[in-house]
Amino acid sequence: MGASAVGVGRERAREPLRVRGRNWLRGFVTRVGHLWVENPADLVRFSARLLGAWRSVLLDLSPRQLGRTLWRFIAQTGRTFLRGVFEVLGLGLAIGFGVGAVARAVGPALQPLFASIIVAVLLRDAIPLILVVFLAGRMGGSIAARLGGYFGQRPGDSPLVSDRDLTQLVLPHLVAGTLTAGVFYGLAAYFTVTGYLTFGEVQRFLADSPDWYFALDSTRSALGIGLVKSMLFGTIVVYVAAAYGIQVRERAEAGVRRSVDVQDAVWETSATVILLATGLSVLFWLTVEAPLR
Amino acid sequence: MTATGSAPSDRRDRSNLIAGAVVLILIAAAAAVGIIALRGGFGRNRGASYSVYLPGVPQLGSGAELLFQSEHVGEVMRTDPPRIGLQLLVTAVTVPEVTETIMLFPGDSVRLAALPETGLVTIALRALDAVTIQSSSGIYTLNRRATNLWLVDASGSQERLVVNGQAIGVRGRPGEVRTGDLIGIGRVRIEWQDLSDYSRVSLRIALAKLRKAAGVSDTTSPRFLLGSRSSIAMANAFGLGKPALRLEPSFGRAAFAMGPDSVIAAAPTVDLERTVQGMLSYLNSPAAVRREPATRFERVVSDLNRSLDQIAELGGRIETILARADAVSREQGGQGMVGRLVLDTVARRDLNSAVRQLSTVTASIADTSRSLLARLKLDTLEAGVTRAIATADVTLKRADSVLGKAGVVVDSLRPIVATVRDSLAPLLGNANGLFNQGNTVAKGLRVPLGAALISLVGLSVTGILKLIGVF
Repeated sequence: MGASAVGVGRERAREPLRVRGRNWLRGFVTRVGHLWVENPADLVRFSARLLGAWRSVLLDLSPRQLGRTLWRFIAQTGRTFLRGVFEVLGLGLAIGFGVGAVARAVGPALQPLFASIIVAVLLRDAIPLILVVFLAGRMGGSIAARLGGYFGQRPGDSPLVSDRDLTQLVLPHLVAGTLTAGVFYGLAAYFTVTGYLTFGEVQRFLADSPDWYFALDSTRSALGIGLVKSMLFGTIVVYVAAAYGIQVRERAEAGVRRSVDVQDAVWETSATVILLATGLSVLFWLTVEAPLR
Repeated sequence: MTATGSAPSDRRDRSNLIAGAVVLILIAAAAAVGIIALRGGFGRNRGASYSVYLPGVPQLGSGAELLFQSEHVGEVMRTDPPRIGLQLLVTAVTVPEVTETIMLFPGDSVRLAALPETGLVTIALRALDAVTIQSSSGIYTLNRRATNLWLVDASGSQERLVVNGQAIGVRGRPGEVRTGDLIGIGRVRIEWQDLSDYSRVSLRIALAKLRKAAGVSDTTSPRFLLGSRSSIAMANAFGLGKPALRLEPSFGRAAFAMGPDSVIAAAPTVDLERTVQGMLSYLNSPAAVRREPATRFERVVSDLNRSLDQIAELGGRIETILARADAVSREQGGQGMVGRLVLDTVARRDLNSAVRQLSTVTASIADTSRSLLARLKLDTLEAGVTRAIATADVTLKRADSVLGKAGVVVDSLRPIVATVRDSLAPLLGNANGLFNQGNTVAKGLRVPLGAALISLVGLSVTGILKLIGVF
């Protein structure tokens, strides 16, 4: 056995460089096709299927099923919230204290600049982007792995997902992702602003109230845009994760490379979501007037 | 994990292989188009060449932006080392008046044509100390004799030179010209300036962008677009951002100075940091080596110094009188007739003390090798020697207090400016540079974006073909 393994290893080592290079190139080009064509095609196909499953959505929302459906939504939202709330609190505090400390260091002459530009940019653009990275890793990866690796846990499970299963699997995650992203954004924004206004001092953080800052028109505008972006990003995270996860699950019908596909689906979910969120942020950014642009 | 159904897997791999090849080809094509476009291909680099002479050494590298209303309309091509030259403001006294800036270096000359019927006026800088102005009435030669002093030789002309509205060289009016004097020759008025260092900054202005930014017709001629009153100023926002130039075009009449170069005037600028630094330097410099006051602040400082000199002189006189009285009282050990008659022992001791203190005070005030602040910060004044000096003491204390506060304010400006510059430069400077670069890139991305769009369409077509199972 051992000698055989060594023999196989030697056999592989003897492959000419040209062959190995050609195999690598072939794998690279195939990967490019998978990432840039197959995955977007999967997203389109998934969207079409989700739209085609409207009857199942109506059935889930019918009076007879509504209670059960709502309970699924609530349970999923609660689980998603509890899994990420502490990380988001830490994230908000870290950003707030960091910005507050920097604002204190640069002195009173530049603090208006911070309040009018840097904190506004943080609330409107930076926090949603940071949040989407966190959500893509925590929530997206989890959904993609769970949906993609579901097949085979019980005898008789079918890899194919019916319309009814599709809505029941995806809709609770979509609702949970959207709502949780909004709540997470609110928490992160609150702690960021409070940390900034108290210049990173814990005593003042506990004593002062940032209500006056949240009442400013500019702050409310930035908060509104940031909230919408965060909820949209949360939806995108779940959407992409569900699309890739279910695609992997159904691809398992062929019985090949299932675990590798699940691993790929997890990291591709993060990469795709971050790419989409960055693109959308640039589009949002282009709508902002000078001099911020 | 093994490939139990290798046929679908192979089919999928083959499909992805074809799709990947298409994507890579599209990416390579889009990248090639983008690189060509960003390097100035596809006509982006079309523009007109202009130059501006900025005083000193402007911190402008190649590629620095030229902005009009925050829009990119051109860039710096090259900044030459500074040269000593003569920059004059010339005005054609016509209706309406046309004013423009001309720049002369040794050996250069420029012809001015205010009105065709009045003939040409030619100004030439023969050497760094000789300027000739030739008109229909003859030749005037201006020879530089000292800093900001040019002597006029009108022997080559039939008429006297008119400066500030009056002929010079007659009725005791000296035949000289200084900075700010207005020389009138026919229909041309020249505002004189002394020699200085100027750096030539060569620019490329995208006239199409400028027309678009200014909202004028696409057929507007460059001579109208950048009329004679156009100017360029530094726009570095106190050093916070990347240095750039700000263009203020003046639409209208064509230039009347027929120079060899398309020169745009440099607009006067205010550099806060340099101004504060100059005020501090002037305030802290010894009075003896201080230059003639040129600004209001410097005049105030100069007046204060003059007042101190007068106080010192007054103190000196009092000191002399007291010293004589002291000398008289000291004769015969203070026991002489005069001494006993003039002062008793206690009064004589007080007098000696007063003389010493006054001597200290006047010596400090009269020391012009010290700065104004140093001359005013004298605690010995607190003793008060005489009522007159005591009065001066109060006045000086007030002046000291006011100047001390002014000094504190001026001093406090320096750390703020330094903080703004040092603290924000890494942040806002980089961000600003990034935004500017992004802005520039975004504006130059029209062609690459088109290529990217076509690539995206190609990508979509590939995806659709894959979806319907073509490969």
